[in-house]
Amino acid sequence: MRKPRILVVDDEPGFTRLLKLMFKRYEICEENDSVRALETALAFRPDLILMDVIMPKLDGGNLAAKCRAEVLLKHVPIVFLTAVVSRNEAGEEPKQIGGFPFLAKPISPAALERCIQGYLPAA
Amino acid sequence: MQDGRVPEAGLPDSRSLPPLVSASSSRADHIRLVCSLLAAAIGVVTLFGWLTGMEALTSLRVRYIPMAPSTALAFTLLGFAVVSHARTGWPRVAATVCTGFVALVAVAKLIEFFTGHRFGFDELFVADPEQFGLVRKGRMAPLTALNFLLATGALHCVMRPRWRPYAGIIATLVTAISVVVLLGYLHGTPFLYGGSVIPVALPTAVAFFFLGCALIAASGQDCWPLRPLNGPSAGSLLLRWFLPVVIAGTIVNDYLQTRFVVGSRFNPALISALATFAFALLISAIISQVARIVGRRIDHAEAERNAAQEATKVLNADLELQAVLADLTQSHEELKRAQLQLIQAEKMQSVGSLAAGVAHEVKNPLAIVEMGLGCLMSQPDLDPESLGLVHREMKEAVSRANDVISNLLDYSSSKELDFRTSNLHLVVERALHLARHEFTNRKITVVRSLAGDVPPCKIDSQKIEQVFVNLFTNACQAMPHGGTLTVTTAVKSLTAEDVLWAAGDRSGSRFRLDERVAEVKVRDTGSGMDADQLARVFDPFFTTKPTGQGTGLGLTVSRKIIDLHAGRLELANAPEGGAVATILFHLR
Repeated sequence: MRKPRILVVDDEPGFTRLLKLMFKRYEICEENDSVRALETALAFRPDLILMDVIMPKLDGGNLAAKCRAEVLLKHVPIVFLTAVVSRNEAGEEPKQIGGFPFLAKPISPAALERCIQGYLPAA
Repeated sequence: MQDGRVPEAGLPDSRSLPPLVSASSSRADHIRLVCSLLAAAIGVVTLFGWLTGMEALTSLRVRYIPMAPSTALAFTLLGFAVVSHARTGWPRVAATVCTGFVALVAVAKLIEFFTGHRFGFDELFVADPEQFGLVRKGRMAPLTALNFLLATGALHCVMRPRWRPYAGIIATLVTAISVVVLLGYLHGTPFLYGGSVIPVALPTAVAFFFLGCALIAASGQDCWPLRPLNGPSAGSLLLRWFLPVVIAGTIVNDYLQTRFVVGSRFNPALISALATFAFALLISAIISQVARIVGRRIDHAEAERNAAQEATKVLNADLELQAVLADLTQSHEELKRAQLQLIQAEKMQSVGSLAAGVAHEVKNPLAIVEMGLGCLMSQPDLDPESLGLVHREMKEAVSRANDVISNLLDYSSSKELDFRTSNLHLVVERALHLARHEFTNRKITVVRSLAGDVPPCKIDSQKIEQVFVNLFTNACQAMPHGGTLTVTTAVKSLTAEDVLWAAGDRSGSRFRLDERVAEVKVRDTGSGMDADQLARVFDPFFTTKPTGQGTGLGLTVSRKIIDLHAGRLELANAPEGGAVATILFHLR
């Protein structure tokens, strides 16, 4: 059985690097350039996409919309990770914003794990 | 005076009348007094003539019929009545009695005339009169009796407020009858002479003329026939001038024609033509004179009216102007309020963006730290390479968060400055030295164009150094593939364009035209900035650099520092390409 695939789109290389190191049981693909993210996603075919909101050039909202427009990515769940909202606002469990769940940065690895488990399609 | 509110008993009727225009009112009163006294005087003189046998006093000319003594008495009484009717007390009672008596006599005479019945009143004065043609002297003429009846009626109307409008009409009739008789005498063919009816004597006609005038004057100016003549209107004015002139002219012309044409030695046609020509000449002269006077008055009135109209116009314009001014003032107030609201909103937005910026810039490193901690805690058996990676990332994240906070503190606490007289060139050199690694790494050539005459400035050299380092760093980052950085200093006098350039900028008021300032320019050969970037370049956390390479606070803090020096920091695209930062310092 193959590992679930997760695409992480964030302009912070440090964050994606550590995230990949943290969640070794998943196959994680890092993408630090949001403009290239769609291409990467189409090639990588992830089961879940974790996405930052505020990124230079192309922000998370627009990227998510582009993903939704692709047949291959249409049904891939997307979870936003953003530093714009506070943890008090977002809470530990994901809430919805524009139809997408989101989590506030910084986030504890345990909460992120729970979130990933919750949104990964049943294997 | 159709006055329902009848005056109280005993009060003179004239008092119940509204006050008239005093000047013309007193003139009418004057005419009333004089004319009634004249009528009474004629009566008295005639009576005296009868008593003394001086016939000339009773008839004025011997070949004319004399005034009857009864007529003379009636004139005396009526003259007195017209004088005293407006008074209170016994004169008024006496006036009423006299009027009534004369009316009685007149009625009696008319009855005598129509029925032939003799009451014998005239006989009391002249028992056995002489003949005058077919009639006898010393007897009142029927026309005289009729006129007396009319005159007493007019006086009666004058004394009754409700009937007073008729007084003028009746009095005019009295005067008209007397005029007709007088004209007969004037033409030399007296009315009714030679017949069996007693004609009206010449003094009687004269006395009636005066009595009629007195009664017209007594009827008041608010009643016909005086009403149209009275008042300031142009119609009354013209009437006042033309009516007497035309009447007098006609009578004079008539008199001249009858006197000189009839029975003259000269050619009647010639005389008539001459008289007509003279009359026309006279009338023209009078009319031209009248037209001049009246025209002048009309012109004057017109001018006054125009002036008043102009004044009204000016007043209206003034009022309009005031309304516009009030409108403008209100708009100005509203604008000021809106501006204050805008400033407040902008401040709140700035605070908001500051908070959001802080959140984003600090939370991202925090997320890395948290993730790193998670790795360390959940995977104690990490390989050394991964461990090194985690340590490096965490260290860098902490350092970044620290930078953000420090810059923010600089931004908020840069109010305390240490001003000392410093050499601006030394500060520039120190900043260039601090940034030298950037220049080397990016293959950037530094060009100095420093003026020799820049005097020492009072600045906080450390803070200004920070500004220069900031500007140099920005310039370097704008030239990732190398280029030239030019630092220029100069002393210059501000031109109108420089001062204008600051319009809308709060620092604009800090500099005056022709003021001598020290200017530092930092120019790069990068790609410059677009309008949106130029507009936001001083906003907190605005950055064009990749994540992690800039806090977006450098220029915000720099401008704050320059503001505290009462200087000016502006960023623009250089005409020859690239961006140029300009700093102005006061020299004082």
